[in-house]
Amino acid sequence: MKPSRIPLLTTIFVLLFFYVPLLLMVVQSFQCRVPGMDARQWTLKWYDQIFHDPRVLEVSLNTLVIGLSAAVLSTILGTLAALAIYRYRSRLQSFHAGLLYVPLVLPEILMGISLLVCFSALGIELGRGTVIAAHVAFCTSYVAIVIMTSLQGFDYTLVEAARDLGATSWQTNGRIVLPLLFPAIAAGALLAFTLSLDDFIVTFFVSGKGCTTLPVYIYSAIKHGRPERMCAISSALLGVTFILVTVSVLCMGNKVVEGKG
Amino acid sequence: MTFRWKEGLLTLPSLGMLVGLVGVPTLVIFITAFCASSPTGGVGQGWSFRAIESLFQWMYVPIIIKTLLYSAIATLLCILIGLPVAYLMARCQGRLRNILVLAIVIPFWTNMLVHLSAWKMVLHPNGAFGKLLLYLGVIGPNDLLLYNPQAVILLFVYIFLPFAIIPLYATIEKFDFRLLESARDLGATSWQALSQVFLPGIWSGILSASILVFVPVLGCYVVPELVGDANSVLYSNKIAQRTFQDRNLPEAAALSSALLVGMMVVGLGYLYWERAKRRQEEGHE
Repeated sequence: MKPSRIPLLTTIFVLLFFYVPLLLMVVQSFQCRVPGMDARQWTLKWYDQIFHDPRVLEVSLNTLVIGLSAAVLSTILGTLAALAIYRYRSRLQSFHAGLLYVPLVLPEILMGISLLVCFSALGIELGRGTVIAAHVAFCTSYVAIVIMTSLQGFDYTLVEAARDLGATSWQTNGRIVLPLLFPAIAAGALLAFTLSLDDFIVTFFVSGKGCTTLPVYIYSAIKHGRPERMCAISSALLGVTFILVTVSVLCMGNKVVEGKG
Repeated sequence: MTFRWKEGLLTLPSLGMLVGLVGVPTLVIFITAFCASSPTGGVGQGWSFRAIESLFQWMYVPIIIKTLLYSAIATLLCILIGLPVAYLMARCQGRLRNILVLAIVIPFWTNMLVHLSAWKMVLHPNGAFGKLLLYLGVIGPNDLLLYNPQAVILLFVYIFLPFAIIPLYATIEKFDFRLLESARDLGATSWQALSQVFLPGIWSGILSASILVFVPVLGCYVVPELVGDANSVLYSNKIAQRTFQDRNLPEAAALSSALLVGMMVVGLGYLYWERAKRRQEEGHE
């Protein structure tokens, strides 16, 4: 059977399609116009500007704080949820699992507006706290799913053996269950952090005026037409994503691929 | 009763969070749709059917049709382009496969706004692509590449293509390619082998890829807002407009409830159909 060339050609086309625009943007972020001429020259001016802009630093720090808080909280909640659903088969747990899947199928805009309406009905001031709460709301589901997948291959006889040998339930959890689940918990935490860093729509709905994250900042740079700034910040964020993804693929293989899908 | 007590303690934190931040807000959306709007923005005092009535306007008919059409075109393109790529990834071995996986995963994790910035540059009248097309004579000097429906679809495909490739790859990887060889040995043409063996074999992957593209596209108002024109205003843009510009939360909630109801009807209809089909198959055996 002669193999068809279509897959190869399509893949080459898709890779060019994905990377040429990104590459052009990165190149452009290192260029500026030569004054008075229609030519361009290499420069680090834009990066120098954004790294010395207190606003950009404040926004980056804010994004980081939100990402870390959301990752820690959703990892704890997600791990507990996965353990509860795995260990008990009750009506309560099927309700629990059902609710856990809702954020995965809800379009982001619906999640954003429902939280916004709730916060404003309760009179809660929009800000960093509401953004963290919203991120925890959707990150927990992803964390729980990563851990549940790993629990499916979990050898429960190990727990029984530990109990038979006289371990208390605290000891079993601390010394058997958690260490065995550690790779999945770490993968879940990384996933949550990346999702939080990446989110725009939900954040935009619940952030109000006071709390800006990097994606929201890029959005306003696009809207208010500051192309050089937009290019430099986007390229920097692309670099961070590139490093994060490469490191996690190298560390965890295909788990990262299966995580979000 | 210690058993129950332990289960409760383990369940309470996440269940409490989910009820508070997912369950209740989703219900509140429905309730808010029946609230009066407040002139200062937000939700006013008392009940009203105004927001629900506002849904029944002719204006929404073309918007709904356009939204479904755009989402369907984007989904179809993602599947058509994604299938050969996922196939190649699944047939590659070792290092090449890892590199391909990485190459698809990076755009998947890259922020949507970064993608939008890049394309804003590329499609800009002074951008690389614009100059190239102008040079080739495909477009005239006054044609805009941005701010039109094609740009919206292009960006939808660009952003959501990895969402299609990854589940397709996961399914094709498990597909037994010897089935294709035996189909060919038994005299099937390559087209028959493709359409009668391969595609039915990976149907579940195609379905989940379609859902993973279609649903987020429905809610992705940023793309039409940043690269579309007045003609490419989609349903999600209307929700955002009611929220941020009109500051009319009850109307935004009414629009959102309608979308939610629509999705629930489709989802439950699908589950019902699936169950009926399974029952029928069991009946045959």
